Amino acid sequence: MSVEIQDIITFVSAFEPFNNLPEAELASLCGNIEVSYYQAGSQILEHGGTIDALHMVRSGSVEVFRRTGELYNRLESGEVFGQMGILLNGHVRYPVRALEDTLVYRIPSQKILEMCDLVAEFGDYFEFNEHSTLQQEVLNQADENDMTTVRVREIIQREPIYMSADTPVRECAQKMTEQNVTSAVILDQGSTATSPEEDDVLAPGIITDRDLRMRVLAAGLSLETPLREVMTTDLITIHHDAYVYEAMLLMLRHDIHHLPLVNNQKVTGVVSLTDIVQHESQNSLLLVRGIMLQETVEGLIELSPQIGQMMVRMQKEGANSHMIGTAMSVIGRAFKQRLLQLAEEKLGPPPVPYCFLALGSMAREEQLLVTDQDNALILSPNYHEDKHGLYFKQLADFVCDGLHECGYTYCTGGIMASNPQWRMTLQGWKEHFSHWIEKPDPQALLNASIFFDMDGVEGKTVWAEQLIRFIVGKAKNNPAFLAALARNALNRTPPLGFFKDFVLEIDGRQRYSLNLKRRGTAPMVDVIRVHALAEGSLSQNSFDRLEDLAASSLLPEGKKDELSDAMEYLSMIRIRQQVAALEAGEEPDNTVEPETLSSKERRGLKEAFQVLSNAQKFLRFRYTASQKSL
Amino acid sequence: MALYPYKQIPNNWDEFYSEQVQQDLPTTLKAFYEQPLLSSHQTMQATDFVAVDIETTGMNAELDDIVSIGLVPFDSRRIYVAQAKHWMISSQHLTSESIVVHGITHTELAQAPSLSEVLPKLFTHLQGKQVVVHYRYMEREFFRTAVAEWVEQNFLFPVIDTLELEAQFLRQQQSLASRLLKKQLPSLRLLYARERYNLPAYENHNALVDALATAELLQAQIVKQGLTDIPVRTLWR
Repeated sequence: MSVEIQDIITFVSAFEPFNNLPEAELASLCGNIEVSYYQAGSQILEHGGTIDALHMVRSGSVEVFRRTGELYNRLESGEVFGQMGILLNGHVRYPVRALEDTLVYRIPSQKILEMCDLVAEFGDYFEFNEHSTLQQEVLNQADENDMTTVRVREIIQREPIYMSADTPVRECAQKMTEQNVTSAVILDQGSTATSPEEDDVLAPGIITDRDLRMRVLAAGLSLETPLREVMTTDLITIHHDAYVYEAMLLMLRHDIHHLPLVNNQKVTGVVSLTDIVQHESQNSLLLVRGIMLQETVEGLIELSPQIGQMMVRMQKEGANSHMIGTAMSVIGRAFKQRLLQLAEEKLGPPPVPYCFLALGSMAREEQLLVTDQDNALILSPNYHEDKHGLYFKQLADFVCDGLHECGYTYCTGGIMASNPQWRMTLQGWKEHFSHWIEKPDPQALLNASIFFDMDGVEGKTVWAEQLIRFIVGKAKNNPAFLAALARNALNRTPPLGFFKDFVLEIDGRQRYSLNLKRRGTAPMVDVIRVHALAEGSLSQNSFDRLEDLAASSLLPEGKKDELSDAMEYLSMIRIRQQVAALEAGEEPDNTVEPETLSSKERRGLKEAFQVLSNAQKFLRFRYTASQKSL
Repeated sequence: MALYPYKQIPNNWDEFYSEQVQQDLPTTLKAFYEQPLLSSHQTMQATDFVAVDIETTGMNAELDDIVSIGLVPFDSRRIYVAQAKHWMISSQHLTSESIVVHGITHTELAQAPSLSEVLPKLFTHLQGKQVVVHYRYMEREFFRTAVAEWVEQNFLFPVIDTLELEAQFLRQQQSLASRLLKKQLPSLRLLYARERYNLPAYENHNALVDALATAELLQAQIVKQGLTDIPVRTLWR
């Protein structure tokens, strides 16, 4: 029997995953430890060397490197390394060097493997690949959540009913009543109603209870009218294997109650709002409905506290950051849309068409709480300042003031439609972007980056799409512009000290904290944007942009997933902090005090910041290196 | 053969060992002396060490008793905790003062073996290994006294003294001026010596933990003082 050294046991058991071990197992594990001292700068693990123990830093700190020699991680007291090697083939995967004079506990591999079999949670800790903690955390999150795992075809109640386009509406209504459904799919090869911009080869129609009421009864049409004349044709559809939340978001975005599911270009079912509501009792659809029903700005202001409540609920239900970001953006969007409608009611219909633009986080569908409004207007080519200027000034002021009162505070940089500078015709915007891209001035671009995240909210949204295509087409082929953007993306570094620890800043409440947005998600978004523009991606959402990069050779293998996980992790911690603040009745912000996090969270956070730091280094190398040599 | 008096050690360890094997000794002690001493070329990095620490009822080996013994085998690369030993020893002289220091109670000691039962085991574990202590006038003197009382034989061996290594190293580091002025060295106590090597502070002091602490200190001294290729004999005390 081996001796017990209480100091070793106390130390080891304070850290994951050893805190999950029963006392007897812990004592047996600690009794078999070997101890080694390494002078600062000496090699602890050589790449390819054999390894027969999990290593734990007892005092000092170490640096873990990739095979390429690139720094991968810094570990301090209580953190472990060498797990990859022992789980794979007993050969060192990542070389490790002592950063300071370091004392290392070596726990024999055999003991670790024994414990993995014996204690499930202990085993889970070592179930990972490349980016360990982070990926595991992100996966855990997804597991807990129903909406991300359930496919939309699984929640629909029944097969759709199919009608021919020539059927009279009465017959269709009778059939729907008989079958107790609220919609019918209409089959018609001859339909030509698709817009030229959509290459939708499916082209069936759909009719709903609401259509029958509004388009037939209220319009006083004959009950013999063929469905062809009243059905909805330019269908918004979703693949039947999509997840419930994707369907929900699509419905929110387009404010529709029925969404046909397609597979192999055939409609296989229709998911209704009721289906989703039944599946997800608490959801943001209801809030969006509520927003759209408000008749006054005051009504909207009264609804605004529900934005935070919605986020709390979604976080509790285990939604991931992509879902929460999208839902928050859709809600923000609904506020804008309703405010624009109210403005048009007050000021009369617009004299010339316009497109209201969302910029920045809302356009990327990554909006959280504590966000300011960033928006702009694209005006019709027929716009004349002297004739129409006043109308759009009033419209923009109405919306921007309303948003401010609903909690979307004025943009401190003045990037708002209420600023005459940001009300331009499509041609005007194209010239403006051409100037930014062709004559890149890092200083001028410093505050312009959010213009490269853009989404049409209301009006002629097709202009927004045209403008995005124009921007992406130009940016892609302009290395000097990409280099300037890349340089700006390096301005905000992650808060990791040269040695190993977080670098804290004093926040608004005089507490030492990390700013997860300024030092985390925002620079991450900047990095991803540069790659996305270089690749010619039309996506605005950071995760979508990363998906678009997957096929390209722009990023080294594995980087995309790493960035995606890091982005998700940083966002989730940010969301959790905001939720915790709301629940404590405090004002949410974007900061976190590291001591309020668990050691696992701190490790995940460090890993995420390290990914960001590496991504910035890569960015510098990829886009700015060639510029320097000129 | 005459016993070496308190605090005196042989001038020539090789001669001393060969003299001892001639004596009529208990088997385990004889086996201890029969192990050849290290060759003069043997370097620190190629040597098997054993760090030893004791807790006692006082500082005087002739008056006080050993309460517990801890030892940990190691080499310049690794410390083998699995092979560590920790013995409590029953004693007649336990004062309430030393209870406070070591946290060992009378009850614990009542169940513990006597020193004469533990000594043969100690010989076996030290046999063939280079003994390492922090401050040689504790462990070696207490062991010498105990064996003399027990079987009236010499029990002596060359040690590496981490306190002595630390003192020498600090003196070398000192400026000439400080040396001439005989300026005091920083504390040589185990805890403070360890701090200088970024080694952790242990909280629960006992013979075993301190033996481990001593082993860690020597590992650190070997790399930080550049002793890797130094012949062990040159550091003998």
